[in-house]
Amino acid sequence: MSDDQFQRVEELFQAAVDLTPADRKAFLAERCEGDPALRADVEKLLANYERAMGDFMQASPVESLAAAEDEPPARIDAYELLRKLGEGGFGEVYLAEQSEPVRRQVAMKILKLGMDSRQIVARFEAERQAMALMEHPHIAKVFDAGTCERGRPYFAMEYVPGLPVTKFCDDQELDTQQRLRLFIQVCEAVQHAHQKGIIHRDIKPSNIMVGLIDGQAVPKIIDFGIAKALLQPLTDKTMFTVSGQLVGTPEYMSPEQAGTSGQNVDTRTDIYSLGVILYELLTGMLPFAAPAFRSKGIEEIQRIIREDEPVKPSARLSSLRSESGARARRTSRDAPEPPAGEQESDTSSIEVIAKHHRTDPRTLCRTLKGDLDWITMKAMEKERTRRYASASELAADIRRHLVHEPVLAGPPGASYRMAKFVRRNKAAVAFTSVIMLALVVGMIGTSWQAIRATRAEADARALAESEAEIRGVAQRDATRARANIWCLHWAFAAGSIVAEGGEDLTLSQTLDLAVERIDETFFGDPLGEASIRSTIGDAYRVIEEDDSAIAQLALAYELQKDLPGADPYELMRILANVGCIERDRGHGEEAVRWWTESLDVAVRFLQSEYPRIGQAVDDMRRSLFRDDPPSDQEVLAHVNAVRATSGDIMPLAVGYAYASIVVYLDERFGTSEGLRILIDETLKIWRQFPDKHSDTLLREVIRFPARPGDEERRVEIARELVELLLRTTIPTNQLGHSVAAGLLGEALVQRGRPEDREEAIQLLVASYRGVWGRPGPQSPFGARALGRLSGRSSRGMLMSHAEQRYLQHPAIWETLREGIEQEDDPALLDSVARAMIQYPGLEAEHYDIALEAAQRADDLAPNDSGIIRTLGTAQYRAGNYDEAVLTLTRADSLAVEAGRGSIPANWAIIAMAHHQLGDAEQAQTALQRARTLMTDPTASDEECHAFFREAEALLDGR
Amino acid sequence: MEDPGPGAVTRLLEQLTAGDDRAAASLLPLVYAELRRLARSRMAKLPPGQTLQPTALVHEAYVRLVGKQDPGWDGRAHFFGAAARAMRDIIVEQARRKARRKHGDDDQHADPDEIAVSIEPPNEDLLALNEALECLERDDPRKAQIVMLRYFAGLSREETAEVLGLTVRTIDREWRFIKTWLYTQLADHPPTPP
Repeated sequence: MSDDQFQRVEELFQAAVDLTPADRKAFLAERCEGDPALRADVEKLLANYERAMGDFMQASPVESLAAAEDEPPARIDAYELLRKLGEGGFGEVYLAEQSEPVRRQVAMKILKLGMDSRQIVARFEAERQAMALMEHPHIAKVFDAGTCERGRPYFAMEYVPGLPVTKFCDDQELDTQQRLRLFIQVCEAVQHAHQKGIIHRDIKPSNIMVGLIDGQAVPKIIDFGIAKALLQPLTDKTMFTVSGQLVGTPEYMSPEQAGTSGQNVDTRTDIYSLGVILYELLTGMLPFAAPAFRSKGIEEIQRIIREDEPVKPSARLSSLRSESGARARRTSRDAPEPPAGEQESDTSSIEVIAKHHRTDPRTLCRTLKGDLDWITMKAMEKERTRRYASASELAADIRRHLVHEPVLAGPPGASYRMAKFVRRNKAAVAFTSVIMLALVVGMIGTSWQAIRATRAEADARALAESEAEIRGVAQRDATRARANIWCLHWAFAAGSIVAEGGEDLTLSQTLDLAVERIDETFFGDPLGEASIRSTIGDAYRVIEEDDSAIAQLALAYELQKDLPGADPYELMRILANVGCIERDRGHGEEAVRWWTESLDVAVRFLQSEYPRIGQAVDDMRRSLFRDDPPSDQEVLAHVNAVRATSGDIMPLAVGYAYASIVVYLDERFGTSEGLRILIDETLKIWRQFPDKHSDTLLREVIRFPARPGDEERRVEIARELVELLLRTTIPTNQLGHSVAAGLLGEALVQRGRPEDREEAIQLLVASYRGVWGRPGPQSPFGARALGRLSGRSSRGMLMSHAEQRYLQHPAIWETLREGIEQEDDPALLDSVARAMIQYPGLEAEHYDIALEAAQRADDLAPNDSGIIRTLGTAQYRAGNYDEAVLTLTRADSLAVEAGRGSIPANWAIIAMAHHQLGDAEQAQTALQRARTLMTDPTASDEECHAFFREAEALLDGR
Repeated sequence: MEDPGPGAVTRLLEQLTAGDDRAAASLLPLVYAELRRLARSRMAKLPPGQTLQPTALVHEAYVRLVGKQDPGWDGRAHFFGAAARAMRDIIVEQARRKARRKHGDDDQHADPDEIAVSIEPPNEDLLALNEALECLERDDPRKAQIVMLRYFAGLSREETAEVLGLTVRTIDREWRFIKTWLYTQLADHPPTPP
């Protein structure tokens, strides 16, 4: 370029740069006519102007000079220094090679002279024990500490190639979601250290190094445990000054560290620093503008950290935008005016910041507004009790944001969360949410507190004491339960649904009534109707009225599936729920159909929200849904493909998709290793959402390993579930708690180890109390728990004899007896009694309980031949042989009257009763009659066969 | 190098002011050595958390080498011009040395604990910048002078204006062009990763 040309380029640039883009174009077109090369040169400069005015050449290059002048010692102890990696206020960091006891590369942090080296090393030694416990892939280990010959203290640490997290994100142009995922990993590492009792105290971007490993961004926190050694005499009072000078990095320092109050530093200090980093990752800026911040005196900086509220991230960005816009307007209107020095970096960098996030300023602002603002500000609260209580809580909230769930952080008050909950439909809110309340409120606390109390002391305390504790909890909860019923009635009264004398309705009747009124209440409001039908369907499922449940749920699905406002997760949940019910009652093909539909919804949702994941899951579905069993490798390959698109955090929809595939493969081909891989994967996804409404998904997954040989695994999963829920603080999933307690109890029973007996029983009793400890007939979950206690699993599968014996425990029988007194459902009472009388050889008092149940069922539903047969059998078991003969004869004639014909089981038991009474002839006649009836396969079932075999054996004297 | 004594620099500045350009060749090594020495000793004494500002270094060198005698406006300009060039040489030399030793991942464990929020540019960038600066020097030496004073010596806009005898406004106008031009050069010829 000639001098002349260079000058013309500059002239044109200077004239054009202050114009608006449109004016620039016209200006250059006129001035560069006939010289396209000149125009291209100027345009290229103009295009780069904004970026050049950003960070470029803002930083002084001089620090490298000064520190590099200080030559490193060649060798310290077992470490040979290779080269300098960096330097800072405390000293320098070198790459070094350790020769013994192992040969490896380490990073050596060598401190400056003049710091109190002996004390530093001593404090490090004190911390070493705790640090040895830290073992986390995202925490760099500290191997050693010592002093080199000139007395400078050093630390030998794991060498972590990479860049500081903020720089890495900008260099790689990670978008906001990717940044959040990375940040979650950092939170998890911090959580790990906190659990081991180690606080970092100096978390900042340069202590979070990120490297690419196999194309994945892997963060690693360095210097854990070192800040304490360096700063302890200062930290616990103020880490702020050393002989009146600023130490450390005030931008990331918590108010309590900046203070002079002598307040102790705890884990929440690290939460604050994480909040600042999150702020920086999201906005590209620090919460307190750096140059201005730095230029202030120490007291002023301390005051800012302690008192000034930072501007919300989104507001911070939009203020940049408006400034930048104002400047553009001003400069285009007025005479050209060079930007003032300070303005350069800030006002022009909004585009640069957005570009670092691979988006435009407007979208970036919108992304940050709301959830991310609140999460960041909550982490950075001045008052530490208002911050997230732990790093994992912070991570969980970010996960919620990523999957469009309401976050914990939020504007004051519950209105925001309620808004998310009810946003679907205004009319349905009162109705739906109150019924939900009614179903859920009663559960809160009860079973869970009981389990917590009993679990903790299971080994140490006698069962009786635990029982007393449970009883206390149950009593407290009676009040709550009354409130619950009041809610129900209020809800129905509000909807003019309760009939006269409605207090006597059972839940089932109430639901039936509600269903009748839905049409008129929700006419022309399909989303509202869908929402209430889904709720009622869930309630029906709980009381095991399967047909009604499926009918309501199917309607709820049909109503909203094509509506634009439908929540895809609700659709998945409904479909999966129906699928579960069908599976539970043995309709495998139907179950597959529903689950497959759920899979379709999941895939559609993923394709629109997470296209890459959606594609991978869709590929998996297309490839695996076929007529021959896929190999385990195929399944694994698909799972890996999905993981490759999203890393560790996956939307719950992937979990639904996997569960659907599990159901399909299981129905078609049975258990396989591939199936287990999928189940594991589903669990992993679920683990990220322990407080979500993923009960359906979870129950289905837990059920799968409940097959011969998998008892061990099932216990493990159930236990994990319980532990996870115990840690969950959000009281929205108490229903899940109860279910989980029951599942674990059941799993322990099935595994059948004598040493688990106490725990299993306590879990079952507590779960039962939790759902039962309320007056009146509305005991939706009581049925299930009672079934479990009495030896029937929740869906009527009879437990083995051994399991039945295993459950014989005074607490069980006492609880059962109480339950029977309160239960008003004859069918349930009948099934409880039948479960017990199935088996010969129990204690007489147990048969007495069965007898009570059957008697009560008969009182409630007279002239039911099935119930009367149960009653007769119970009388036989309890030793009332005369009565048994009479009762069973009556049962049989009732069955004949009802057109069902004579039942062989009746005659088998009559035969045994006669035998017990010493009348061999009558006994043989009755047995012969049973034998004849047994030849008709439609008249006999497994239960009949069991009684018949028992009778044959008894009469033969075996 | 032998210490030339406190008067040496003043004498050279006087010669330069008088129009003896050969004095520049003698001035530069003196300033260069003083800056290196100062940097080393200041850095070692710096309390934790403090950083060394280039402008402080240059001004201290001035006080030490020129002392209280005022060499006049022209003499000061010559001194700061030489100091800025020396800083550039020192920094670029350092960057070259590091670039030779490193394998591309030098930046980790960089620990900017200190007060400056800025992160120094990676060595490759610095070396590329220096090459672009050499081009600029051929096209317009004054612009290269501005870069050395503002970027390498860390002088303020006002000081730069004073040393070069220009208005602050002109410096600002030039500076925005210079940055854009250099940025464009670097964008067109990105440093090749090692």
